[in-house]
Amino acid sequence: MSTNAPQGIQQLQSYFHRRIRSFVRTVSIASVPENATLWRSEVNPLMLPEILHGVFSFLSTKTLVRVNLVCKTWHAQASGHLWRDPFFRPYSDGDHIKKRVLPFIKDHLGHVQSLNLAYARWDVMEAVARLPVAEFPAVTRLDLFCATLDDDLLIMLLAKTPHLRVLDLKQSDCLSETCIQQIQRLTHLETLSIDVDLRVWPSKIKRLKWCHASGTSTEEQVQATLQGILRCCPLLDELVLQELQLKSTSWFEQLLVQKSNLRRLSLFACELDGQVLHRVAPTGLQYLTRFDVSMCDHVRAKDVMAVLDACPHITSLFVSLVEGLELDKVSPQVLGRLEVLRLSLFDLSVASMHAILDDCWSLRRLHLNDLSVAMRALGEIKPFSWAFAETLQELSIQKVRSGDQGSSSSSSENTERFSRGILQNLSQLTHLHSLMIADSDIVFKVNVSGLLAPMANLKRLRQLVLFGLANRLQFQEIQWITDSYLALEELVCYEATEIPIQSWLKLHHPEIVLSYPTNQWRTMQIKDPLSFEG
Amino acid sequence: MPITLLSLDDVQFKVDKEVAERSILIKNMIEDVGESDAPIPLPNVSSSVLKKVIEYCEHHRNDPVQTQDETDDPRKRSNDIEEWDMKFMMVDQEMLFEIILAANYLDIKPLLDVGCKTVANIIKGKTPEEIRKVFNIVNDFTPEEEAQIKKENEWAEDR
Repeated sequence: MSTNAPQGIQQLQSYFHRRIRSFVRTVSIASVPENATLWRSEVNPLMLPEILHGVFSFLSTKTLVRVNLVCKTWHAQASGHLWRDPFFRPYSDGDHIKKRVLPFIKDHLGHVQSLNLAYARWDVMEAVARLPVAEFPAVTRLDLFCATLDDDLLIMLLAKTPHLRVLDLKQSDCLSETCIQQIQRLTHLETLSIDVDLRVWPSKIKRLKWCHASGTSTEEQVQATLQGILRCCPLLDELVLQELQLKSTSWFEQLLVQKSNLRRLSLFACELDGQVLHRVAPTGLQYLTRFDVSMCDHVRAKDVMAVLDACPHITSLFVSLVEGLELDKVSPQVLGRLEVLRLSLFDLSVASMHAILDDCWSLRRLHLNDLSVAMRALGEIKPFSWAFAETLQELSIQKVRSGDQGSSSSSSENTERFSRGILQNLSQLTHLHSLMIADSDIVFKVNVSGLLAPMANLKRLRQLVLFGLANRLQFQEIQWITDSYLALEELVCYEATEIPIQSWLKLHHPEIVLSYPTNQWRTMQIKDPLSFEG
Repeated sequence: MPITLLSLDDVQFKVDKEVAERSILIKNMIEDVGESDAPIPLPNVSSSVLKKVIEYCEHHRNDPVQTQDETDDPRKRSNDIEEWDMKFMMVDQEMLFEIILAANYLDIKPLLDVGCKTVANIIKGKTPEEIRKVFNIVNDFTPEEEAQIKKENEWAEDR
């Protein structure tokens, strides 16, 4: 060892000289302003292109627009980032895309990474597809969710985006043979959302969302398609199936056992017998981390509980319509590892609600939608805090009704007391990033200042969605919101889009995106169509 | 075998190999030249910064290697900094910059990302003038150039 040491050191020194030379070269490219106060290392990292690139990749278009004006070095970096996702809100304004974005896109082609054309109109689709460019060389993501287009336009677009890794074609069915071939040729594709059978699927696919929108395919066709997917895609990690007929239990059971290394499974509104899940869980679903059986009519509470007990890695659970779910009967360890929980469309018992509040100590996202919940469980002020007080980042309470009927304390006075208690309890959630309260009994009983006052300490709140409140938000309440929530990036409420309030917000808080609660919000989607989150 | 790191100001730090190899620069170097008990000189990192960086690597010694999956979405978020990392980054601006430079030089991608996210969070919601003030940046645009950029920006402005 010791005899080798001098040589080692020599190699090491030359190694470092190489590294240092490359480092120094990078530094000299950046122009450090002459009269800026130089700190000890005499290099301001925020003048180095590679560092700026890192920082800017975390900034929204709204912020990049301002960053662009800071100085020449920043401008050179930021203008590229601005074109990453040039149609970031296509459904908001197709004319804007045609007049203001498309005419300039040619000069920035190398920067464009994502074509977000969800819900795009026909004329917008046509203008994009017919752009006189040979290729979008850096585009890896194409979102055509619910876009209006035909085969010709789609073929043109796919021919110009050969490097796609993510493609959403959902609800654009009836693809021609040529179109299908074009998709089959996308060799880099990893995430795909589609509703036709490709027969030959790109082999690198990891995440697949498949459904038959028209609902006409027979169970034999569904079986053939799923078997084709498993055969072609050995890397498949996440399977999202929607509205499919999976009634004959035997083949589906076999399929799950055969693909037993799946990590995320979603069976949204599929027709299947819950018994299958029950039986297959120990062998076929043992590596699942995400399990979604929302809107499955025939999946019962006991099936869900059996899966939870048999699959030790589940951290995300999405269930609905499971009357009689007794989370208090599930072991605290199972509840303790849940990170994402979405419950909807059933009556949540007092004991189940207590189990969530007491044992879910890893929860990051909790959605209670269209549920009847025992308000007194939520509204009780306890001497200790909720289990997830320090982990919860996203909370949605939408169309939640009081489930306290039948108890002796059903007077409106009590409901109001519980409402206040709930808001008091919400103030413990100091890590909350996103909060949605809508159309729920809680807010009908409390006026807006009563709603907001206890929550002044939610300092990390970035997204606030409020609608269906007892009173409309007043100007000073909006002011209070922006003064209190310094991290706020998005405010969704009817009032924020009224002209005087909108102008005031644009002037004083240009960083906050304002949205009107459209149907997308109403149907509870704090997610975009392509996010396979959870 | 522990690895010895030598800072710019000649302070030695003994760390486990696994911790040191959070730095891809050091990892590649150990692979290139083989293990040796000679201290590894890090001529761009002072002892105060190296101490912080080692603290980070110790805490994250068992983290899985970052996969490509997370980079799928071009709309990356800066609000998902872990609690520990957020506290770790509560330092003055000089130290924040030193950590970013060291992470870049030592090639510790997750630390560089946390540093960049922290800077991104400082930038958010600020006007160009406020940003210049915070980071000591001089406006080197002429009024004409500034007007031109504002015009260029229009396409991406709020609608």
